[in-house]
Amino acid sequence: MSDPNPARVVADADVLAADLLVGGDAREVMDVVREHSWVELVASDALLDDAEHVVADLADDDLATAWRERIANLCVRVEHDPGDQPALASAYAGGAAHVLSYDDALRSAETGAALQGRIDVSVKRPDGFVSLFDAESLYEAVVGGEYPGPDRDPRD
Amino acid sequence: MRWTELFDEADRYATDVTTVREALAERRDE
Repeated sequence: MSDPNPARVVADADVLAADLLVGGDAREVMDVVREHSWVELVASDALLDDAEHVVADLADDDLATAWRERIANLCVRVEHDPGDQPALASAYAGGAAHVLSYDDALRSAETGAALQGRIDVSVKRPDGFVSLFDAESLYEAVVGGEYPGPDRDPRD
Repeated sequence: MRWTELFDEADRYATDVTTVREALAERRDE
């Protein structure tokens, strides 16, 4: 089994699009990523393609293109086989410990059982991740030393 | 474009999680 990085996160396309078009807990969880340089967002092109498509569908092409350019600068990019579930495959390829999704099926016991032995990943809703996120202890474990607080402007 | 500008622009298209989920499901069913 791969050894996942607890500071690496995959946001499925629903969370990425909801960050932009809904706000709420999707934006809260993405703000955690945006404001900590040591928390890494992992994504494949297929995953970003899905989110960009949703934004273009529900908003417009210009906003989708601008979003894609901005999110591309935030991501650690990974590759996986076509046809794989983009969020889970990105987590596997990128060694991410967390997948954030609103998809109940992705969080089901069946999916968990299917993943067991392949990747040690936790699939959570955004609000679940935010409530459990402990910046101080994670910083100490991943970076080392005393947590200095957020080191980036989440709106920049 | 900065995130704050993206969010300002996106406000015109504000929607809900259910609608986002449905749009993604359609995309992945294609």
